[in-house]
Amino acid sequence: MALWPQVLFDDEGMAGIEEILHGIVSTEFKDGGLRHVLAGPERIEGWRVGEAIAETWLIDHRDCHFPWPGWRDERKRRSSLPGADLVGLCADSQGERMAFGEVKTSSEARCPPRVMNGPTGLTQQLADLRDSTSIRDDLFKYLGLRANGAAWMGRFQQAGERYLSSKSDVRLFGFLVRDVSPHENDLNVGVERLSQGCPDDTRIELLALYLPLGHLDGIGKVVVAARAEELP
Amino acid sequence: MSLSKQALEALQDHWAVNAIGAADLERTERLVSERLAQKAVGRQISFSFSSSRDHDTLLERLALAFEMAAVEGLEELSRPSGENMELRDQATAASFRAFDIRRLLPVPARTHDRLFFVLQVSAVAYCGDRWSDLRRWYKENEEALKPPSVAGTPWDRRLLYRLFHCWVRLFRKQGWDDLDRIREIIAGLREDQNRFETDCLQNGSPGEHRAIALRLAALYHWAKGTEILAGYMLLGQPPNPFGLLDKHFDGAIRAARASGDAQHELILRWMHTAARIMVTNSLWWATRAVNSRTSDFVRSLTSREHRAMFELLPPQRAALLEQGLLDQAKTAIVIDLPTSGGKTLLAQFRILQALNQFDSDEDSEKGWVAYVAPTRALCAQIARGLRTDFDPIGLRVEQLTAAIEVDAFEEELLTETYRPFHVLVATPEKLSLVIRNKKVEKRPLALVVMDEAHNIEAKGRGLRIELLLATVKMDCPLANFLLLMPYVEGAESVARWLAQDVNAGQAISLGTVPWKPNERILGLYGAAPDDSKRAGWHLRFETLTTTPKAMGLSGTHRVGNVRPIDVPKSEVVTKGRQKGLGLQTAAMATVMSTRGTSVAIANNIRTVWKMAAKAAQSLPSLDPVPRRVQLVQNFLRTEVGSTFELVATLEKGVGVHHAGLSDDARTLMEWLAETGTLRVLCATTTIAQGINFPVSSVFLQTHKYPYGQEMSSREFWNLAGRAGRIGHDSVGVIGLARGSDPNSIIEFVSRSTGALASRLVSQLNELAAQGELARLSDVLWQDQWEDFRCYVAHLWAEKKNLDAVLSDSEQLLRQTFGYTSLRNDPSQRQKADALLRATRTYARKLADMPSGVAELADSTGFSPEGVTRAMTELRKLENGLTPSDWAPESLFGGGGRIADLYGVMLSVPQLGRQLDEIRGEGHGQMRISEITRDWVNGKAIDVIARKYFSQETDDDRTLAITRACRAIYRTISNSGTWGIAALSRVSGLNFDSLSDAEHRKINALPAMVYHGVRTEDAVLMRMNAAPRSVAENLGKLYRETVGEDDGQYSIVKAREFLKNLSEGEWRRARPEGSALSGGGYKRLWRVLSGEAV
Repeated sequence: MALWPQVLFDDEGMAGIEEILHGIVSTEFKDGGLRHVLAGPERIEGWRVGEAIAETWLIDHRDCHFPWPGWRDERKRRSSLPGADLVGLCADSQGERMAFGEVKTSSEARCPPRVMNGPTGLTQQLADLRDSTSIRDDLFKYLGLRANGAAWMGRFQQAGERYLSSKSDVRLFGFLVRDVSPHENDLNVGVERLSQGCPDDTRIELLALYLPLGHLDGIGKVVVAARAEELP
Repeated sequence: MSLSKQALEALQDHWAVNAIGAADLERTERLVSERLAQKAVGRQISFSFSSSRDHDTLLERLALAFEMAAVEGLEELSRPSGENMELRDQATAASFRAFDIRRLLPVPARTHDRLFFVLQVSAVAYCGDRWSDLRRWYKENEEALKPPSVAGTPWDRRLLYRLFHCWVRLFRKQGWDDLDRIREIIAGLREDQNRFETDCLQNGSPGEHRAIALRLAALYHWAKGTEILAGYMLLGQPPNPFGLLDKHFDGAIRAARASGDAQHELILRWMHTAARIMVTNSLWWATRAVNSRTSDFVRSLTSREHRAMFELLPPQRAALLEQGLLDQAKTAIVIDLPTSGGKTLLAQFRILQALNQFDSDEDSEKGWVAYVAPTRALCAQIARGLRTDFDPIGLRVEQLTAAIEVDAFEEELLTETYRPFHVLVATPEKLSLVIRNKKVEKRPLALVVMDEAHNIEAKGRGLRIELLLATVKMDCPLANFLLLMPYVEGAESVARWLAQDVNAGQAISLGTVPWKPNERILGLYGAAPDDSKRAGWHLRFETLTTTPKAMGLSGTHRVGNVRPIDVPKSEVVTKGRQKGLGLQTAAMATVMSTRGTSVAIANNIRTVWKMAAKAAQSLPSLDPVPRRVQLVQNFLRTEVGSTFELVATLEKGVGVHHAGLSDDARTLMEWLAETGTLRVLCATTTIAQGINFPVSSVFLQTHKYPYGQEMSSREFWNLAGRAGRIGHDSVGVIGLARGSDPNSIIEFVSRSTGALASRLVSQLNELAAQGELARLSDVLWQDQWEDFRCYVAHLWAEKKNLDAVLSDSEQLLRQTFGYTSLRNDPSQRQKADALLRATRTYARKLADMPSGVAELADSTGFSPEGVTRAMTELRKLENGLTPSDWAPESLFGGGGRIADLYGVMLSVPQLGRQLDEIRGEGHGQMRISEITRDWVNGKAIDVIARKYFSQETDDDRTLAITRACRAIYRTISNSGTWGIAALSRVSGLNFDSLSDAEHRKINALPAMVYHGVRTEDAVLMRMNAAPRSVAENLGKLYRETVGEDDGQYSIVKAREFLKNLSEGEWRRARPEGSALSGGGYKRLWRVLSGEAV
């Protein structure tokens, strides 16, 4: 839980919002509409907590490094780039390589839950990441941009060399966060589908993490309240 | 900072590029060249390259690796320079290479992907100094540039699509309106905000709304940055736009990052960098601190309707911003610039600076600029171009004729006080006469621009050019120098020589920068038997990899179909032996003409005509025949004759260009080629000296001039550099006929261009090699030393005192490049000493010549020996000449003395060499005299051809016309006019007995001969580019307009008169039976005078 503040709360981003709003006047566009939307307090939804859990877990257990918060699923839906929830690096026996992750959070009782299927489901998102070099290329370039001068530049270069030698040499994570009873059917169908036609050097891992029953509902508010208590 | 070869080489060590692996890198390099060639000329040349799907993957990988290297330095590129130069260079070099590959890859089909692809490719091109290539890519991919419809799209998309549209405009810069419209688009977006923004920020979750709001913030900043950039490119305001651009792009990037939109953030970073580079490339930025005259010039370039100009090519930017082109402390600048690198603009900026430096309230004291070009065709082209560009800012550009004497009209032009000229365009010979005789009084010569200055090493004229520069140094101490030349290594020594001060000479060497106007394919072609058709053959093209100046393509490839032109195999190849190289050349040009104008070059006029005929025979008629072609055809029908072969070949889009055409006809051929109206232009090798416009391909029957003299390597590459039109062709094709000795041609194209050598030094070296150095004084009378003798005579004419000349001899020699380099090299001192001794000996000889000879040599351009010979011959004439013999009516009338004058001229070596050519074909000087008489009296070319040249050529009309043109335009208008002018001075006659009007007429004689008209007013019209067929009538009209009592020739007034003539007035002047209408004449005049673009 110690990592949560950086992973879950966009303190840095929030701090810049006032500056962004302030600058709009100089563009000669009106700033009223944006100010109305951006000025309110940041809300933390349950899915966002789920993503933070996934990200932290992968950092702790898979030696991953994600340079920026991965809570962007909702924003991503209408962003320019389909991308991935988690973009970063992952170490294995041959060194670093590119790692991309998709995260879904669901309290739905059925197995697998609907977030696993359909065109925006976890399985399809992973299939897109597996099959589309242009998505991976764009993420790679963006990582390169952010890596410049960063402490993790060396790790990125290692991963970059591998990626440029073979663009399928990547690690993909599908992470399902649930607060129902664990069931292998949650992932089985996805595993079967993603293993078909998977390039030899692409490694895809599907993970499901089960919170205690019913804990996802309202978890965002709980986290916000807990943090508020911690802050001086 | 401009891209360097070192930066490109350093990329090989970048981790991302290394990751590709050496073998794949090499494969990719080859693939890039092959793909580019295939894309550019794959329709004409069947390349034997292999292809596979793996290739795309490989190209994608390498492009990504380069982009990664570029991305690392992007931040650095978007800041003022000077922080981490290595990273900046890396980003530029990597972008340069990434663009090489990306431009070959397909554009994605999905709208969103397409927009980002186009923006990314464009930004990469800018960051890699490839904007001129990008414009070409835009032309080839117009579909990809279409802005998507905004109907029914959400507000953020609408903004993105509109911004895409704005940036396409910013990148392509089709003209003032293209950029000006951006202001309206952004203003429209501000209005749309009220209607669309609210909807966009509703109907989603709060998190979504926040992301959208941030994206909108990014887009608003982007829009503002776009507006600022467009405003700057148009008006140069605000003077320093970087602060504002940075502010808005930083704001946009911050908001994009906060919105979590990686792609948006990345593209904004690229756009920010591209925006900054666009500003530094702009004319406004490069000239911001120069002077108001330059600002006016830039304003006129950006706002003109045709060919508006906003940006500098990389070599231009480097010259201006990095290498001190406008540094006032540099008095001599030598620019080694790649062909088509935009040297004219650089010269223009330097001209403006020089004029500014020598500005004065008094017109009579203002500085002037001499622009020297080697041929009359180039002079005409340059004068037209400068006039078009400088006229809007009130600068007057005048051109002196290529005739060697300064005629009465030119005398008045040079001293005219009504709107005095600013820039004078002239050949070296003409300028030499102007300088030696101080024809421009009081006004200081501010700058000499020497175009194609590598001619300083040419046999024949090189010495003359070197000595002209030396004379300018001596006689015009305030003059600055700007020498323009391609492919010259070690130009510093030339700059130092001219500046006479290490710190004041500047060599700007850009000939070897990685930037190229376009890629080049170089190869040898030949004919191969092809049995698929009776007497069949086809062309084979072997691409050469032996020179870094061309793409590294290997293999032999088939070009075009069987029998690409209608000649049987036996005419081009028999038993494996190559023949009919001219026909092969015509065939290559014909096949390649489907992608743009091709030039087919042969070393003699007869072959040129044959090539043109065969090419025309094999091509379909132009349908419809373009108006430009019709105009030229009508001109030829009127001025040459309706049956002239060129009229027919033009119907098929085939033109010719050689010494057997008038200047006007050649100008029109160049105009048609330059505007892309011609399919094929067949020309003689001499076009290498005169071609100043780009074409699509160039093919040479041979790299040798007539009589077997090889083109210099520099001349060849200068010519080859014309292949590929900037903004049109990504690849220019150059081919040479392989003939029977392909290895010698391969060796020729592989030679290095080397440093510039003084002709003076070469001549001394030749003597030394023959062991004759000690006898230099004895051989100084030989033709190759004629210019040197004139140079010494000039000193004599100035000093008029042997002791003074002897004591100044070394000073005189030190003005020359050759002597300076010999004197500075201890191992060459012996040659320098020999030259000094010979100079002094010759000075003593001059002292023994009759008084006034050196002065006459100066004023006539004859050598002192030529003057004495002319004096002797004039004295020998049976009936001495009287002043009245010189009156035009008398000289050109029946029984006139023109034949006697030609007799004298033939004895003067400088004239006799050329005049002999016509004499050799006919009946001695009587024939030259009669041709001259008919020419001045207005006889049409075909009439002269029939009368004097047809019987000897078996009724071959084309050849007869060619010979007539050559006799008139080359021999009579050069040597004839020079001779008449010079002899009138040498004759020593006193013309005082004549009236002023008669005197004026005599002075106008040479110009009448030069232009082929018989009145002074007609000369004025001809000097202002009026066609000969209408010049006399226009002259009458002019006289009616200005009145009888105007005692001066004013070229400016005459030009203003022509400019203001209505179509009706042109109709009035039109001669009966002319194929040209009044409107046709008007249009034609606009083309010939440079008024039309």
